Amino acid sequence: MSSNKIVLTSSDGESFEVEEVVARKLQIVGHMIEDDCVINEIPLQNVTGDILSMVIEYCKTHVDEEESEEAQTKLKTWDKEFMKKFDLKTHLKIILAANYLNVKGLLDLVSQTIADNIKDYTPEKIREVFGVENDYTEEEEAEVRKENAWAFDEADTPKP
Amino acid sequence: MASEKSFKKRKITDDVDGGVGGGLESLPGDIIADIFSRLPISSIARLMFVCRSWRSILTQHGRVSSSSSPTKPCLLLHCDSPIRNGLHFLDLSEEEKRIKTKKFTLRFASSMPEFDVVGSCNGLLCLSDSLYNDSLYLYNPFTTNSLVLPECSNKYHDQELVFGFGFHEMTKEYKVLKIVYFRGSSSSNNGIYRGRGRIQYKQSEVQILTLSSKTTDQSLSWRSLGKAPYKFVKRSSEALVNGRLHFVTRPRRHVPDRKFVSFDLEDEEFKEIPKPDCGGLNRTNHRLVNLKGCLCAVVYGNYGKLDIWVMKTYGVKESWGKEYSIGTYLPKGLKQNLDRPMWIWKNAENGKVVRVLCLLENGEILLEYKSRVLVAYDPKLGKFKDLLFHGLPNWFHTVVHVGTLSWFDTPLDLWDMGFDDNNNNKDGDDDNSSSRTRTDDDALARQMSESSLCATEEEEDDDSKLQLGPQYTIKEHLEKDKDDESLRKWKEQLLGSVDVTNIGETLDPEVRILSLAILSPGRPDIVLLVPENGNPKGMWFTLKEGSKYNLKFTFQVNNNIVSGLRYTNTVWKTGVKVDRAKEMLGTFSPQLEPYNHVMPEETTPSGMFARGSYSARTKFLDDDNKCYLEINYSFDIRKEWPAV
Repeated sequence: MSSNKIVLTSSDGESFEVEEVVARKLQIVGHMIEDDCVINEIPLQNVTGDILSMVIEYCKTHVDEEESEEAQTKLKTWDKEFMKKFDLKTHLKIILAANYLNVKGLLDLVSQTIADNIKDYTPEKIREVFGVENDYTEEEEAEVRKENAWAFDEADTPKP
Repeated sequence: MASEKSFKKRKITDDVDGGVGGGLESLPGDIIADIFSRLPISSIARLMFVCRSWRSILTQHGRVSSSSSPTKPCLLLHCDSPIRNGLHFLDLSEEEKRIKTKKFTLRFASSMPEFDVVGSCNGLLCLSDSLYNDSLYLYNPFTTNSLVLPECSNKYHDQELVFGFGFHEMTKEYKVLKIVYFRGSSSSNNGIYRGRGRIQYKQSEVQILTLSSKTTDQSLSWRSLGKAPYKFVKRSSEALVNGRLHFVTRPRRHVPDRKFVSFDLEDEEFKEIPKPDCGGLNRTNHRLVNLKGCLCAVVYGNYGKLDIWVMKTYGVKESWGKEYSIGTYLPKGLKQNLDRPMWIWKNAENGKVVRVLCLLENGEILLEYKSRVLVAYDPKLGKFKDLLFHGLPNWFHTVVHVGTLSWFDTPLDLWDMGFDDNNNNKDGDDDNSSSRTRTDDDALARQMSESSLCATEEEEDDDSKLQLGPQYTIKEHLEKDKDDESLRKWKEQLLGSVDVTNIGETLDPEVRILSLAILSPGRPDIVLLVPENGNPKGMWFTLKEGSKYNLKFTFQVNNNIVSGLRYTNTVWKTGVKVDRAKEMLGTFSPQLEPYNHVMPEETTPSGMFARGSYSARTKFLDDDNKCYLEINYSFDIRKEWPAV
């Protein structure tokens, strides 16, 4: 290998030069490096530049995973802040990219973030956020709601 | 609307950029399942009402588990209140401050108002009708899916039932096991009745019902496996480990040994399991429980102390070891002395104070104290923490459960989801599953079974329901097993110098309680003669407050050996039950010389509220529950002893 810099190119032609250790965080790239099929530029067909930049930002931060508790806490805080920057739409895009590029830590992080966000949503809110239409009839909905009253307790009553 | 097709798409689709609305559905199915598996069960249940397709994704695919797992269980709290039982739950997978008790609406409430929980497995409950005991229900409280299991064609009108419910990973089948002990149909002279009103269930039948994804309504029927090879203690299977249900046998009169017996849900065979060498297992002071996928024996000591023995490698006797010792603890909630409602006596009468429920993710052991308080015990620090949750019922019986939306026909690749870490070692391991050491991860894939149903069953009552061997007269006793040296010696010891010729061939022992004496240091003994009708008139005796005393009984045994003679004493003050004591006196052979039995020392209560008149009932019973004496009497506690 001539240098330990690798260029990643997004589907919309944006290029990012990153250190090899960072690029290896993307397991798909890691495997390519091991298989010696790396020239110096890796095209990543399924990721757009804006999303790829976020993934790279995550990988740079997580490049040396220190064991110490302090470092771990610091990383966790960073993760939280990082996730706060984006909306659900972006989260979904990041999740797809992380899945494709095979970045397990990021996949975990985004999945957890989405889970935490929708945890307390009422069905109405979920429909709104995800743009899903309610296809239950009123009677059906009343029926299921009655049987599952326990599940709505929390969401329906305003929190103290 | 997303069709199943688009839901399953694994590759990134073109609408990544454009897809605004149905974003979630554009994700690969395993990622959606992963996100859902991080949600508490209540959130998942709410997602079902978003729209039909989400509901079908969540329920029919069965790929979705909740964040609840064997180490972060959903606790179901069964309230055995009269007329209508209740079922609450606590989701321990949620953040602690968010956890609160929620109450289910039970779909079967009108047809089965009172029920027992036979077992919990993969989020399914098997319930039995506790009023009539014949119907069984399969139920998922989170989806309200319910199924009435068919009635068995072989019915016995006078029966005793032992249930088991579990799932086997290899066959992917659920099975309900029903062991019926019943009286023979016509033959009434083969020792069915012993003593007075004591019923022996001589006959037995093992029945089994299989539930799998292939099960249709027609194929749902009971099969008979013939006679039961063992007589089990009357409570549901305690621990599902390694695809096997576990039971404890009842001792026979001359075979006091209790055995641990497993029932394999795959090959449907009973097998004995080696026991730990911890002694004391012949009494009922132990329960079986599944902790981290290992079979464990909880052995109780005095004052709510307990030891937990773990069989690290299944089926290997040498691998039994004492892992935890938990000392006496009195949760704060118990100090406030609630009056125990009558219904709780059914299961919990003076029984095991502490039930071991499960091992939590943080390594703490979850305990239930007196059906009233949940406590987390940290074995490293030896510290107890009372778990107080909003809305906790006053009395409950905890069932360790996993919250899922699955149903018995759900294809169970359930365990492939949310348990990624142990996928790798799963496949290779299954071949030698019967004899391997379990690791923590591996244990996650196993289902935690309900740790000990009816664990609070009263110890003495348990003993009293023993299936005892046929009764023999003394002569027969001496004749039997003549060749067995050790048995002969034991009998000699027990029978002493009985003059066989003087003893009739009467079967029933006779116990006459001659007198009671109250021995108090520095005082002349108060000797009370027991009147013929058992009801002394007026104040029978007077005690001084705060004084130490022993009770001494004098009694005579005739005709035959009386085994498991015990004494119960209940005391009321102004109509409120204030004390209930029990004492096992032992087994006695007939002899002319009366026996004396001195009870442990006690102290009379003192203070303004303690003084006054009490009424009491004392009974002497044997292990057939035959009552030899019942006295109802009154006594006083005063500031001073009465003048002699």
